[in-house]
Amino acid sequence: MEQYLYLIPLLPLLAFVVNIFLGRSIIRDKAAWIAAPAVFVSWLLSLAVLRQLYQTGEPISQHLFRWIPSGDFNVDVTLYADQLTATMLIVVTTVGFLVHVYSTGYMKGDPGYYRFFSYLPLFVFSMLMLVLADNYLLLFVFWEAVGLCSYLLISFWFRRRAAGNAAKKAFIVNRVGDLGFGLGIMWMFWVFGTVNFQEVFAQVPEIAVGTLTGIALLLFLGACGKSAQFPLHVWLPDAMEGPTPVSALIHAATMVTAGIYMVARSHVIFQAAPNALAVVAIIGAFTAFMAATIGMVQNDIKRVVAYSTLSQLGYMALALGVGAWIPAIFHLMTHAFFKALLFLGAGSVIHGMHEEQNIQKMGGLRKYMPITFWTFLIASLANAGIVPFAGFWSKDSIILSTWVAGNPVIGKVLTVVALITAFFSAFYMFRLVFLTFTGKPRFDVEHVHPHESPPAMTIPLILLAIPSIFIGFLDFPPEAGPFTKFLEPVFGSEGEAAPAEVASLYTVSDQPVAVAYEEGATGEGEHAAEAGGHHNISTALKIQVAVVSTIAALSGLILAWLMYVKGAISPIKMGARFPGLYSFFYDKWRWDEAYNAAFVQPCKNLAMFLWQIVDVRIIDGTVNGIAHGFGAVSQRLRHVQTGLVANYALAIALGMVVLIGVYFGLYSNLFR
Amino acid sequence: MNGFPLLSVMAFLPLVGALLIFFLPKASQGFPKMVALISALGSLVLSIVMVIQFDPNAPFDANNAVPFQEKIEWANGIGISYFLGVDGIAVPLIVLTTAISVIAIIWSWDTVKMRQREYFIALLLLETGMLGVFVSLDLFIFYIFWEIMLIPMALLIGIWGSTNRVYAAMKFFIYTLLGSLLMLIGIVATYQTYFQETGERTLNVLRLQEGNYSPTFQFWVFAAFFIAFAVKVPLFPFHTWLPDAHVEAPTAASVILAAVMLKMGGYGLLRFNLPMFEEGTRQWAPIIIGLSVIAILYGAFVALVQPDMKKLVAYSSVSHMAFVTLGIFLLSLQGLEGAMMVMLAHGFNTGALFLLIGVVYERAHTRQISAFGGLASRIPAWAAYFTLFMFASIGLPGLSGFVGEFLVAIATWHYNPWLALFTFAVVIFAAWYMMWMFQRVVFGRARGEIPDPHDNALTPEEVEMLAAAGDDGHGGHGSHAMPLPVSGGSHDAHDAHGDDPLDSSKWHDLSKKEAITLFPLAVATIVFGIYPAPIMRIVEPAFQRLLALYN
Repeated sequence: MEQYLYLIPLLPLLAFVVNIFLGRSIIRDKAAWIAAPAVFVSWLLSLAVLRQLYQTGEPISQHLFRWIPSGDFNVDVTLYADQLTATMLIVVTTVGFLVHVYSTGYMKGDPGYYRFFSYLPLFVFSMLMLVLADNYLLLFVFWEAVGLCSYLLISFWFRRRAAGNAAKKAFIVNRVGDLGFGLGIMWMFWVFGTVNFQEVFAQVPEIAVGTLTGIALLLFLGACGKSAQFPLHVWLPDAMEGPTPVSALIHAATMVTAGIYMVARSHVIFQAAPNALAVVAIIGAFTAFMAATIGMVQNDIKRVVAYSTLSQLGYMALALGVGAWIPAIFHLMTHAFFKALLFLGAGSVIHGMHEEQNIQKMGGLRKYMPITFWTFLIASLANAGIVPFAGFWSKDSIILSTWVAGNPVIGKVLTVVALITAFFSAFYMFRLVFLTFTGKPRFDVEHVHPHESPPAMTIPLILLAIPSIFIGFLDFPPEAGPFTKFLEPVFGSEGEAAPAEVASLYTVSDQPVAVAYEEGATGEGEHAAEAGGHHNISTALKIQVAVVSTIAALSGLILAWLMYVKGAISPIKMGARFPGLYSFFYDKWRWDEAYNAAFVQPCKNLAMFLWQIVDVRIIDGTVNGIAHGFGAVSQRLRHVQTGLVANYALAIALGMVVLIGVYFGLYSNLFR
Repeated sequence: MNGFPLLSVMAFLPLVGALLIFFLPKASQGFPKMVALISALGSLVLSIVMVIQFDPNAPFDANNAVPFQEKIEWANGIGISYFLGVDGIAVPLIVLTTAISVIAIIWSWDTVKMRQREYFIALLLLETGMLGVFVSLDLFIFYIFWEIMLIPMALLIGIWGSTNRVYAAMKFFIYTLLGSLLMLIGIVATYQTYFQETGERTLNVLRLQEGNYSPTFQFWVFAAFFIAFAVKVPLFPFHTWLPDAHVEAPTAASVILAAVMLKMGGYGLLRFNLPMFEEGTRQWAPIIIGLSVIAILYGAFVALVQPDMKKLVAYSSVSHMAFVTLGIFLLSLQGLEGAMMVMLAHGFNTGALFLLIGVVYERAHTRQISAFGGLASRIPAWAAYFTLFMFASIGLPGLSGFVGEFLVAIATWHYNPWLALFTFAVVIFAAWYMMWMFQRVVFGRARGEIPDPHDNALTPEEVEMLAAAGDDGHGGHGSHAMPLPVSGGSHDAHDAHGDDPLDSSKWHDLSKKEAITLFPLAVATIVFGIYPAPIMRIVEPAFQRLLALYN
């Protein structure tokens, strides 16, 4: 497989090149026939990589060429595939291919059809390269490249001002994160002398914990941008202006998980920086909670799903923060499938409803679009974390890992937050399901005729529904199943016992932490693993946590049922009882307004000041002032030029007298 | 090719072309541009031959023959010789110059209607001046070329420019001349001091580098040279000629100005200030680094609020070019190589951006951002190029802008992490100002187009317009991106007449000529973004030599 690794990203890249150059003139509505097969072959090759890794367990790598050779700063374009990469490859190519198929139906007849099927494989290429990169700078390159694709695809319907605004916002907010990521790479280079993953990780034990914390936090700032964590989460909901398949692929299943992937990839650094991990956990839990509160009151079908994406990404970050690397990746994978399904289902609804996105104007769609309904329901059950759907298993292991994360304050408090969020998740998911698919139609039945989507769209829905139901069993029994075993080599035995290790770090936080880290890392620190490692998590505790989280989810589901099906509780009255809270949630906690007042406007004012005052008045004023000064002096002097010979003769004579006088005065001793 | 005076032929070929045009005034209409193109192409070919034959590791000092050396004793008594030669610093910039000159001439093929002969003479003279600057290793002839370059550019702005051209040309001329005069003083002072010290009269740059100058002397003479080059770069606060010059200059002159002439500043610093005045460099470096970091952010901020496309790009140049001075004075390999990459990338990207602005200026006769909109649906090929160069300009990795800026930033971190924070923060503002312009010009609703009914950010007027046009946006989702033509012209008074230059529906997309000028730049920005190694190989030995002086 080693020598063919490059084909995995290359094929989608070729599809992009062909479609972008020949799409408008020759290929046109056949563009999907270039793009989809390319991604399909990438998928097959990814399976081959997975198989090889499963059999041998040995990471695969392929050196392509040296990108930047600058003295001791050398960056290679080398592909590297270990178990983590293989998992990501499968997720990206599977969802990527299904979204391609779906888009052939969804984008049919769009004048930008060829453009869409150029950008989509370009994204798949960039995302594949992102997970195949073997060093931080190469990862950063494709980190930005997926941002480019995101920009191009959000603004795909560029005639809409809202789409352009959203694309711009997404890119710029991401750049704030990229600033952090870039600085993290710089710092890393000067500390480690390299940006290659393996070389960096090998040196981590020798580095001061303060430095590692700084680097980790900068990297996490990047992850906050890409994975839409607070405080850089504001771009993701707006990104829903893009076509729905884009939301499914980029803004739900793959690109937004790049931040999670990056932190998981850097787990060696983060593990050695407990304070950074704590920040990750708190930010993740807060994002999960905040997004869930917003998701409960939104009326745009895509926005609800978008906030649920934010919330689930928060869970993943929480998992990373408590050192539960494998549960984080597990949730990333299950989420990719069921969230892609949710978005594609939402797209099917929008398609069938002729571009209507407001769920208050839907209702009763179940009988019009049964396939969409059933698949959407499966995805909702998975997202709500109802047993035995995919989301249950992964979310449950995150909550469990949080509970056992040593620091009693962080671990227990965040567990409570995660459980409340689970309750909210089930509520907003089923509010969405009930408002959209059940009850009486709230649209004009005379004029709007919803219809089921064509097979090109429903078949991907069905195919995604299968993993949304079953993929959770890939890690059964929880945290000891095949998935965990497969990924263990990446995260090491310490990685497996990460909660325990963090636990030990928290409890000894007043000792020099580097020492504590070494205890955990050398493997001799078995006792650290035993202290609270999940090997020791009793089955009883596992079941307790599962029961509690199921109760949380079910009560959310029941509340939604009571409100939107039974009508026992009126949502309008609820909103009226807490008007402040309701509008606060509805206005998305007003972060946009706050950022606008705190950053955007001051920057613009400063820019105006620098231009009008500093540039025009001060600098140019000085320059022009000098010029005018010369002009004015010359105006005076020109009166000397009278044009009369007599005047000149007089001046010459006087000049002579002065010169001779000076000569005698200074250099001659005639008068001394 | 031993004995063939490659550099001289390359540098003077355009001058020969200019003289030909000058002495054959009766020749046909197409003669001047044909001559111009052929001589510029000749120089381009020779410069490519030069790159192929160039050995980066060849010696470059006063005691050995330098690559492509041409040395003719001229005024021996006062130490002036005709001394040409190149090193790894000059070579990439020479190729940039010859390539950009060809592009500028092709661009001018049918755009210049007035005084064609004089125009092409000026362009060719300018090319000789620029090439001369890069190949001269004698301060005397260097200074001559330096001044030769100034006059045609001032004329190009002052004669073929737009409304406020004379002010801009004067400002450009006086600003640069002031800098040049300071440099002249510096040259004379160095010459004298070297003579007093060694008894040898020489203006040989490589010889003068070996002199031992007192720290005080270095401090002041460094400043004299530095200001001349800082004006050219232009480094804040010597930059205010640039926006005016760019805005008023004809497109081809803007391209040359941005792509090549600004690099004279960086080149001068690398060729004279750093090797001749190590002590002065050390003394001034912190101040210049500080100014550069200020300039990086200052240029980006000011670009944020520009209503004129060319001005916006001009201020973005201030920001980008400050990476060059920053990288140079960090005195590290990454900084220097980064500075070089920034110079080249800025040449491709900003040059192309000025061409792209020129395309719409030709059609609309305005550069106001607010006058445009929705050009992606009207001139898509243009929009595609614009997209590419916008991303190249804001430093998207994989395109040429990134490599240099990242190398400079990484070198800055080593100097001071906080400065790196401020330096690298520009990635946010660069995206902001470019995308702000891009969105208004390329995205959105084109003039006369009916708004998209699915747009969530319609203005009240657009909602009315939509209502008036009849609710025909609901014919299934396939229609949501369809540019709907205005029927009957009843909505927009301008459309009824059809002579509104801003009505982009009548514009043709990129002409063949325009595409020919843009395509090579697009290739360059992509290739050197993905594979900058060839450039690095050429420049690295030269910078290693330079750094050896500082260790």
